[in-house]
Amino acid sequence: MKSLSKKSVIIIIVAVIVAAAIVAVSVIDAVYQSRNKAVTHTTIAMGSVVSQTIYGGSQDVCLSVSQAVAELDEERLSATSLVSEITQINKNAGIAPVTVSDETLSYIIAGIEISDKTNGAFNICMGALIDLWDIGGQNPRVPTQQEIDVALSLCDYTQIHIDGNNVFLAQSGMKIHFGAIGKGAGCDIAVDTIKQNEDVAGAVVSVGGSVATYGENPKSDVWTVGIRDPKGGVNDRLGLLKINGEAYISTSGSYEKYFEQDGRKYHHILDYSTGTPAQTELLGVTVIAPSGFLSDALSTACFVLDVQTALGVLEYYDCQAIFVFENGDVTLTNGVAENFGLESESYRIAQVYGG
Amino acid sequence: MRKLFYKRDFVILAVILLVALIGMGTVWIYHNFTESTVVVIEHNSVEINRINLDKIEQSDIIFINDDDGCHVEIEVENGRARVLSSTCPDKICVNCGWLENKGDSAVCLPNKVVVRIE
Repeated sequence: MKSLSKKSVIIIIVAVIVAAAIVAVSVIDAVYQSRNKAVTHTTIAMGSVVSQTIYGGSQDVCLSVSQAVAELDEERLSATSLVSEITQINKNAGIAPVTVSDETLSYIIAGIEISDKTNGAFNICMGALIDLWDIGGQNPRVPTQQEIDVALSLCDYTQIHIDGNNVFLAQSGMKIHFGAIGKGAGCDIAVDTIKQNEDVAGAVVSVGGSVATYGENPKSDVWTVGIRDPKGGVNDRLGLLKINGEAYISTSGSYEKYFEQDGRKYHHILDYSTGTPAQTELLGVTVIAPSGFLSDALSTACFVLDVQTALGVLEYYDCQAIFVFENGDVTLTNGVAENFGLESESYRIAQVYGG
Repeated sequence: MRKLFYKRDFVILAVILLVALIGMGTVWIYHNFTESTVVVIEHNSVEINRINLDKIEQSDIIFINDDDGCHVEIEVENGRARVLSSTCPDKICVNCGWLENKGDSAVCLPNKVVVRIE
């Protein structure tokens, strides 16, 4: 056999380089795709549906997230869990202080601060009133005025005494209730857990109706979060909200939980100033905030407060909001106006505040 | 005058490119087709079943019961699964229909049952 000509050697070398390049490109593409690959995971935690879409992570990340949310509920915040720190505090109301973890303490302190700032429109000590109405529970009913008055006397958040890590409720029957912020706090701990995994480029997590976005969406510049139509079904959309990077979105609405008695609807967002479901022309308020705790607490507060007062609170906390009214009006704070696209024809943008 | 290319050169070139294409194809197939479709079933936050749907030949029904009155039937067959029936008021889980793609899920909050595809 003839030895290879010089030209043959060159052709072989070029061919090998081309072949190597083709293989290298396909390997790099596969690696790149797996980094941008979405892993979706749905489970139940905190009594709600927890849904995650994580880019660049694995199912293991999703499992650690749902576990963190479940533990936050069962060991810390739940008022129904037998072993949670909040249950211990409530059981010892009027009896003795209870020593709690730094984490639980920080939620209580933040809760009191927002209760104070919103004049009780958001109130972390409403357990007695919430249990009395039992909306969303087994036996919801309209209580008598006398019962309401007694319950309200047990909802004074200034009667939560804190000394170091010791928390004491001054009167027996007082109950801290984190129902209005639990899902938001769940979003916070979910993102904290995701941040511990450097592989994750971006994620969207929802706990019940609260949503967190984190990092970059590899498929688009922004995250899009659907806002539900308060008059429609579970899958009907009011519009789409564009979000950049990390943000927390919570909605409070009268359509979420309610019961009917004697032909009247009673929704679940109770007003501390009256002891009854908040009387309002609003159907719902969506708040976009730098933390889930804040977005959840403020969506409740903004639903209960009159709009002018609500706007002051939103400005103080540097948060944005979308208000949806019974008459079909939708109003927005100016920081969100450009990022919200109304889709439903039953509504119209009536006003942009401060715009 | 010498020929510019010998036949042998073409053969070598073709073989090398063929090898490259096979390599690329292997990476692509490995990347896209090696993962199997698995259904995971949870009840009361505990994983109770994990089934490779690609290996099912005959459809089967998984029953979930507990003392709280929960009774859920989950149908699994080749490549897909669904909640067939559930003792819940709103039937959101049943209405999810067949689950066949990764990430698809059906959740029954009242009965605390999750069915998802991984």
